[in-house]
Amino acid sequence: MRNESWRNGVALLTALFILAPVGLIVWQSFLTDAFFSPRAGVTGATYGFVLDDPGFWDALRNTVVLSVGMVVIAVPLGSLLAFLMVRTDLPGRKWIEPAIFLPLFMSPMVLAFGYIVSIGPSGFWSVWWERLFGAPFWNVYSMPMLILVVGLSHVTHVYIYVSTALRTVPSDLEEAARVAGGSPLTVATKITLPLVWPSIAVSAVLVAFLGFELFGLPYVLGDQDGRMVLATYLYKFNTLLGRPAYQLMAVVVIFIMLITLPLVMLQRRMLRTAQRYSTIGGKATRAHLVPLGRWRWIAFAAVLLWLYAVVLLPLSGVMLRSVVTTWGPLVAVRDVLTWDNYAKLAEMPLIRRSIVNTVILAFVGGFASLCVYALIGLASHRSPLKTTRGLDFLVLLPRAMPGIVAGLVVFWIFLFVPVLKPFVASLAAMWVAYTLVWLPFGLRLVSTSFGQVGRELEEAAHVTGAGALRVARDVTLPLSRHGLMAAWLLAFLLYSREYSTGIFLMGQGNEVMGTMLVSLWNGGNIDVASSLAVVNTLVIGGGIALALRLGVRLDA
Amino acid sequence: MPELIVENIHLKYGTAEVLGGASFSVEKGKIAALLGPSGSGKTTLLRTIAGLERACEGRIRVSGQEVLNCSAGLDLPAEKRGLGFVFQSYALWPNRTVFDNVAYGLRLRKVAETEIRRKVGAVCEVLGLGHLQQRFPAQLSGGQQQRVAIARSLAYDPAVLLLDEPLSNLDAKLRDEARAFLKELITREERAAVIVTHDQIEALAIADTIILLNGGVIAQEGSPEDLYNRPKTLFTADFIGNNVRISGKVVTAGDGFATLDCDGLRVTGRMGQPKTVGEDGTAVCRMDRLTLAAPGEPDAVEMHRATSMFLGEKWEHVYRLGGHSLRVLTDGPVAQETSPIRIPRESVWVF
Ligand SMILES: Nc1ncnc2c1ncn2[C@@H]1O[C@H](COP(=O)(O)OP(=O)(O)OP(=O)(O)O)[C@@H](O)[C@H]1O
Ligand SMILES: [Mg+2]
Repeated sequence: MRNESWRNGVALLTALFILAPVGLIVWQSFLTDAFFSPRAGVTGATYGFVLDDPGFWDALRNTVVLSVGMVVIAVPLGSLLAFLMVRTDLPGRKWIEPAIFLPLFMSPMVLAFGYIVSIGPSGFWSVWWERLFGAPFWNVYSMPMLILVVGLSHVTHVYIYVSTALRTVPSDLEEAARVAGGSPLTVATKITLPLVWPSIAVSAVLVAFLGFELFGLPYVLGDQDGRMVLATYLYKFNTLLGRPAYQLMAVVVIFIMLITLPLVMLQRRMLRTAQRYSTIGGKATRAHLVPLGRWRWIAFAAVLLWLYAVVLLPLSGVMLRSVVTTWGPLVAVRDVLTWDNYAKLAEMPLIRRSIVNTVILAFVGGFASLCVYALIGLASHRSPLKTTRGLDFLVLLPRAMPGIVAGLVVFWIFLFVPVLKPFVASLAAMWVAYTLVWLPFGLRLVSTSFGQVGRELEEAAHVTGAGALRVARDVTLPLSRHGLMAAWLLAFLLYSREYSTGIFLMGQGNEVMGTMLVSLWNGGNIDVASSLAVVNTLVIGGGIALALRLGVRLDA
Repeated sequence: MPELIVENIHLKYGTAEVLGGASFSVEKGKIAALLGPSGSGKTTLLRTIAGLERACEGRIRVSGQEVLNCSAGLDLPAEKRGLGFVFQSYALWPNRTVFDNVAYGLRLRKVAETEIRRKVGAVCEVLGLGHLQQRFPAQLSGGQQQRVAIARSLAYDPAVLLLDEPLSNLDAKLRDEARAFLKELITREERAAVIVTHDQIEALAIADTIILLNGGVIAQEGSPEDLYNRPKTLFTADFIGNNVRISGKVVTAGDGFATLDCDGLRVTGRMGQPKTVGEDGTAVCRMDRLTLAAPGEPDAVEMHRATSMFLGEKWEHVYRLGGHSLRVLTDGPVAQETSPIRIPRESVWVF
């Protein structure tokens, strides 16, 4: 008899992995106290409490403003960037291309530190500016600045969607319009834009959704004025009332997911439509590039300026800050140069451990997560079953879960299940949370790789006498190994960068660089934080270099 | 008892019925060809036999053992049916050498390594791949790849071999050689083979039985001569051979023959089904049997020559009468504007 029960088994475990945390959140939101407390009773008052808190409405308003602002900045710029890169003779496209993906892998914590030490009140650039022109006109802690920073750092997300769509628009459509007498600008707006419109819309929804996930930048840059977004509001509940108010946190999580889940579903639907649009051309013809004329160098300078603002400016700031003992208006750099900050990294056991832990989690944990994703991917690969197809829908839930939320619920699950409880502050708990957060992304990567293995190659093994697992071992996995390697590398990069997922899970012994950066910031230890930020960036940079070397696509 | 028995296979994709009750059987050492127009379900039927598609009704027996019996809920997966399958794309594993491709089935059956070496060597020798065993599939020509695909499906001695258009990727000359080779191989190795093809010449040449599919049901089944000379339906008559179809009214019928009047063009042929005078009918004429009639020959119609073309070996002429045109081949040029054309009644079927 055909044995498909293993597929059902895997699907069931995955569903449990996804639904248990969600169920726990819902349950917790209706309790008067933490779910493990004997005094906890059922109530609906928690919702009232949160809804009556003006702080919640402030946070909600800020989040909406932030997310709309991001869309307004990132979508036009990202689309323009895509058009410049794909359709015009912009100089230096070849080396700009990989640089565009750098913001994807910049840790928001590093970015945030970078801005503070570069253009903050006594940052390098502020001080230099003041010496030359007088008091700077900007305030890094202001809301417009925050919107600008998050907007610019999400240009890449838009770029990825729009450039992919642009590449499938056959250039003969544009050429026909040019021949008919349209100027380059008319053609771009009348012919090209309508064709990539669906992809632009998809990316707008994505960016709006990412706006609700933001944690690091608003946390660091909005902290001074006590300006909160939903994610930082949630984090504050951990300490606000003297001890963690789990029931209120659960309510906030539910409110966050009530916004993100529809956005994720909307994006999924729109993506399908967009893909149907973009396959009409299909044939990759050599595009005829639009000459920019004298705009060439202006456009080039604009792209460089953007790269400077989102990569170089913050990075140079933390790098410089990491090699000076102190910094202020009256200090000259050469007087305060030092390597001590790096020596301190090695001396402080906590920090040393966080570096080691990060590398273990990113390298070994990334591989372990990949194995999990591959198992789930195999179960639904060419599966005739409804159960595995349901997974496709179920993964929208973790997708709608911001990292900080996933970390929180995994923390709760570990508290909730007696056998897991001793491991609540272990690297294993951290790994579980990371695996949950990146499940939708990882699953998509492995499914794409499996999908590229020819169907008949697998069937040939079946008729030759191999069962499902043999086929996976002998055909599917070996033939998709490049895609799997790439997925591992991407997992490594993302895990090294991750900071918000681990916040609630951090305890004695399982510190990672990302969470360490958050707590160094909390403690005001800027010297060490800067040098740790540099180390974090170096690890990620090494991963990126390796990825480029191996030809792994960073925009997967 | 036939090696392969297929009974009443039904299969649906969603609500669309793709196979609507196909049945046939193949004896040891014989080749059955599944022939039919594109989309008639040949590939689907073959894949169903292999266990790669799931039928909703029907039974299949391989070497006397039941592998599919829908009413009893029996449906062995592909790997338990022990068949050989040659894919149209060959589906050679690109990461394995020829040797490892061919040895895979034996490895799965846990055969000892020395025995594997001997068997693979023997199969490769038979297929003329002896010197290529260490190559990867990408380093082989199309014809060599096809032979590796066959070697791989033969290596573990399956009783039944299923081949999906195995020759369609080869160029014309290679295809003729491969066809003869395949036929000889299957007869000598005493397998029962089912071969899918949409090329009727290939089917006529290679098969012991032809199973003609149309829209998921078997239109006719029989020896190549049977199908060619005794078509039972209009579809069969028209599908096999190079034909012209003419429609008209039955003017005489009897003695197994009927005459159609098609706007003045009179055609007589065998009745494929009982016809009565006055009925509408369609005549299917084998084009290659049309000739210029000698004076006094029967079954001749006076027609007008519209054009002539020199094809090298022969001349082709288009003759017209009313709205109908016929193409006639001759050895030399023709001068007359009108000639009697012979449409021999043995090569015409009326339905
Ligand atoms: N996965 C599928 N879903 C729905 N319909 C399908 C699917 N695969 C095949 N079909 C339909 O089933 C019918 C039979 O297809 P099949 O591939 O068996 O045809 P075939 O006889 O092998 O044709 P060809 O000579 O073109 O290979 C076709 O009408 C096809 O459109
Ligand atoms: Mg086919």
